[in-house]
Amino acid sequence: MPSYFELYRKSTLGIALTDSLDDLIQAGHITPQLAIQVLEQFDKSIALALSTKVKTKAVIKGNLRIYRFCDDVWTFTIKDPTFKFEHETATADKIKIVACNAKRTGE
Amino acid sequence: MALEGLDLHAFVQALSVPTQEALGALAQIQRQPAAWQLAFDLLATNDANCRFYGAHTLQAKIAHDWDTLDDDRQEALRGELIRLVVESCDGPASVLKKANQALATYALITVPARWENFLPSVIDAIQERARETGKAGASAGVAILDLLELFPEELNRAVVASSQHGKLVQDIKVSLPVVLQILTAVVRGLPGSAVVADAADFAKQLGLSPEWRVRAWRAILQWLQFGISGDTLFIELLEVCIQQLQTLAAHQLSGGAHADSDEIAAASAATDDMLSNMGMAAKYARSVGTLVLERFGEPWASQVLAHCVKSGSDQDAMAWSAMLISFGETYTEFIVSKIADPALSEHVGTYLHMMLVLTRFPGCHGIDEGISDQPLNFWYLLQEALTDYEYDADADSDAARAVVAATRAAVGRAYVELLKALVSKCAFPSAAAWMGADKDERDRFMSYRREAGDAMLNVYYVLREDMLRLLVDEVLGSMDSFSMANWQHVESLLFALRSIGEAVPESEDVHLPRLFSAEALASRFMPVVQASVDGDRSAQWGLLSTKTGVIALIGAFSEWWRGHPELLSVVVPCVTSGLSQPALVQAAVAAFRRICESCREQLTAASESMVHLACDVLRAGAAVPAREQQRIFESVAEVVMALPPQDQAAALAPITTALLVGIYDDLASVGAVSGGGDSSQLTDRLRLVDALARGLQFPDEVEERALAGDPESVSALALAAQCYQLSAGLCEFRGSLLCAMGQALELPVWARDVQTGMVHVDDDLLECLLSVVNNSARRGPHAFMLAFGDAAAFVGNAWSVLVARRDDSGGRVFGRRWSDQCPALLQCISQLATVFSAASDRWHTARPSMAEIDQTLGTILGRVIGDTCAGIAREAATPAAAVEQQPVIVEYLFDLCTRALQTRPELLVCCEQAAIGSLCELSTQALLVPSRLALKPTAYFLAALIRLSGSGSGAQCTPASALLLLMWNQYGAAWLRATLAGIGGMHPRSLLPNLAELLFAMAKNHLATTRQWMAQLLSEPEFPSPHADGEAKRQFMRQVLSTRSFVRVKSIVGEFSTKCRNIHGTAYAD
Repeated sequence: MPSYFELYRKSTLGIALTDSLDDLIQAGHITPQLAIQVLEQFDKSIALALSTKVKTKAVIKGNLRIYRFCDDVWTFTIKDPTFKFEHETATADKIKIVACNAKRTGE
Repeated sequence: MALEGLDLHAFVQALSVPTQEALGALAQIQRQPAAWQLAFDLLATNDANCRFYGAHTLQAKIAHDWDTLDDDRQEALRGELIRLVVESCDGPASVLKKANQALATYALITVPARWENFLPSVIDAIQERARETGKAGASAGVAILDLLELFPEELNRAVVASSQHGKLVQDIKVSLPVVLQILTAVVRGLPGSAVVADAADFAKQLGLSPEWRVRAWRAILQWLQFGISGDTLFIELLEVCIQQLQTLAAHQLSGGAHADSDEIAAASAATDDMLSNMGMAAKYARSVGTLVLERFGEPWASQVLAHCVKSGSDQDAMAWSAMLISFGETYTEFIVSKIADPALSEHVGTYLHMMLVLTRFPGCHGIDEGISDQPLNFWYLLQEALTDYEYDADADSDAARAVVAATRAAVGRAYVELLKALVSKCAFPSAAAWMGADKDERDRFMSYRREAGDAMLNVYYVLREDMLRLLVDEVLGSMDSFSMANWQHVESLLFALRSIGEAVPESEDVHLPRLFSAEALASRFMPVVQASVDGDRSAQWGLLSTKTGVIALIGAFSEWWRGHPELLSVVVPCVTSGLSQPALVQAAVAAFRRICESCREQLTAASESMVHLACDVLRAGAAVPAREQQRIFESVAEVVMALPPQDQAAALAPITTALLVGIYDDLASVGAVSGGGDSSQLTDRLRLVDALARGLQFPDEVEERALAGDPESVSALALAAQCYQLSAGLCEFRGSLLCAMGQALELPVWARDVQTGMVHVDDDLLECLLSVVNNSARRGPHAFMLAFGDAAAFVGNAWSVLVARRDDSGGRVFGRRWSDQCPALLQCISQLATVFSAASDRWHTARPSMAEIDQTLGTILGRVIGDTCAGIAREAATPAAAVEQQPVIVEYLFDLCTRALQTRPELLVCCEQAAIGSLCELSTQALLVPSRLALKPTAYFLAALIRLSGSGSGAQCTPASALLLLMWNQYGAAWLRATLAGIGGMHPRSLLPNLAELLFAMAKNHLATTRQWMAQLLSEPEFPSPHADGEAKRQFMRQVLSTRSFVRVKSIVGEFSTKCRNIHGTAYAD
């Protein structure tokens, strides 16, 4: 069975889904096995949606403090990043970008 | 195993319809052990529906009740299933599919431990069985093809243990050659294909049907996911795919009956998958890449693309282009390395030409075509690959340098063509097409332009000066002949230049000076910005788009202007002339801000005119929207900040005076209205003060360096602080502003909600006043910063006004207004605590003593805590419900308290005891409510409190730490109970890290009391969960109290929580 990255489970959407599944398991409405299947479907659907539905682009500028490439995963730590979206700009003190190879998805 | 009470005959009758009752009964029966027999009873009937449900029942029993069969029955079932498949092969497709699904389910359980070499053996068994029963070969073929199509899907859907899955896939991979041989034999049934001598007869027969060929292509795609090991089979299959594509292309070009779009799409998808295989590309780039380039370099590929362009069919073009683009994206490095190779250069050239054809696909993207954005990623990868290729090349060898030069030249030629293609594609369509397009279509076009803009950057990285030369020449020529007839082309050229603005270095001194000379700016750009047209809507749209393009272009080169400050005196007026045209204001302000941001230092000489510009904007009033006015003011203030501190006050004087006059006029006019007037104009003007305050802040990094003790930064801040303190003009401004803000606070300003019709206090005004205080209260000096006493008194008054309005109102409507405004005030107090309670900064010389600050701020903090807790409690009947209804206020309150704890714990000592008690009660309630918003800051606050309370006794004891220790002793048990309840399942698992942090702080700082309370709590039956037994609780407590590692505590908490949630040991718990 193709495996998808599980990193989006830590997104706001993924956390909300996991919490809801926890509730359903505790109430006895679903089994843990079914919850796993739901999460696997979530991994697949969100990867697909992000690759096909999202057209928004942002330019990120900042000071690259740390970068590494390990096990096919790039990690960047950027200090004082500025995100320039189409119509707005956002800033933060520090961000970490974790980038995985999308080509591996579903293989 | 009989089904008691079931009238089989009647049931079969009902199921043959089928009735709802029968289907419901079937679902019930399938759960019974005797349903195995029912499956075969139903399969023995002649009715298609009954046979379908028989196969369905069999599949369900295999999947769910496999263990109810003994070993012999399980073994015998395989033969039964093959018999069933063969019997169904010339019947209805639905029955055959269901029979094959049952067989696949059986295989997923038994392969390979009890059924080795599954695929060849099942294919042989089906053929053998078909021969024995006299079935036609083609019928057996239908069964085999159906199984081959369906099995990979079933494997994907099945939940199989990972060990079993690995063995299963291994067994399948061994058999892939057999499977692919059958499937390729079917797809080669397309008329015109090469004859396959050794293909099975059934495959040849089925290959005559377009439907089966499409299904075979789709099955090939499914099987490819298991991975072909070794290049021989991969290349053989790829050759077949490309050969068949060529045959399909021939049919399409000749307009023959065999040019089936579905078949082309299916064949292309399978080929696409192979060409996207990065593993194969890494291992066999040379052999695969050469093969593909040679085959795609043949005329048929270019011809079929040309055919798609001519027919304007996006769908066909999409089908053909997908695999071409995939090849380019996967084999980019190989393509670059072969572009100057005499053996392949021609083929590479043909391939790049095809990519260009796709890039310039006719029509307007989003409106009447959707193909031209597909190859843009390839061009990006090609540019990257060229850079890598040049970097890796041997720089010491003449021959290598020559190859690199030839490669660059060849790629450069392609990118020149790409540039032309992108410029033509980025041009807006005709007015009729644009006006006729809906919003989605326009959005797609604009989205494409952004993507194309990124591709322009790739072109620049390849061509550099050549691109600038081409574009500048073209822009100058087009601008000279600018008219409403060619505006699309001009605008597109401007867009192309704008897209590379940030990448062009400041030092560029060859081409941009031709474009941006003072003469060119004055004679070419300024007239366009100031032009007007009396034409119809379409002409106005064209002119506005071009003007926007000009202004955006100037903004995009803001970094370049920094290196050419002599031009700023022409550039800035060119941009600001757009402020007088409502439709251009937004673009003009955006460009103005970029220039101010990049050329702050260079613009200081013109600071006077900048401030006058701000005054003009102020006078213009509503002609420039309020939000844009604020942006201009902020940018102007940023420029003023680049002046020496002693000159800033004088520079600001015209605008601060004008603002104060306006504010006092507004105050008078609002106050003159009986019962309160509309305060929107006053609010807008105060927002401009706020914008100035934002712009006058020292950069964060300067403040940080000064706080770290950097002498240069400290002396800069000290000088500024002194200047701001001694400046008579600024002193007067601050005094007048404070007075005006005080008056505004007391104003009876009301507004009527348009939608609800309800009268309410003007929220914006209070928020705006607090924002001015926030933005001028900084760790570093600030020209507008109020003295501590003034700022504290103002915030204290604001709080009193807010609470008085809440208490006077009585009704829930005004309670809600309080809820909306409370967070802003809490945030403002938090900012004051950070700025004024921190250790004394050397540049602030006129601060009161810390004791005085503690007393004043502590009193305010105590009032705020008490009033906020009371306000939250008013919201609902129970404390928990109140917290649940006001999580945002809880969040801001605990953020404020955490900030106070971290910067100056002594502030809590100055709070009233009742307020501290209310805070502790509220924190206990907030820990019990499963609201992320309320719980996270509460847990964070309590962890900070507990850490500081650790030194509440002994030599290091201070009044603050003694108070915190007292709080821990009084409320610690309740906090621990709430924490354990949350871990035990009351709260979502996503909150466990916060609860673990809190528990860790308790155990680390108060080991003895935590052990005692934990033992008491965990000895309670069913606490924190009925699923955690005594041993689990004892182990949890022992582990938590014996480790000093937070990571370990998190892990222990996670494990115990899964036990409490009864999911321990399941894969879901991980």
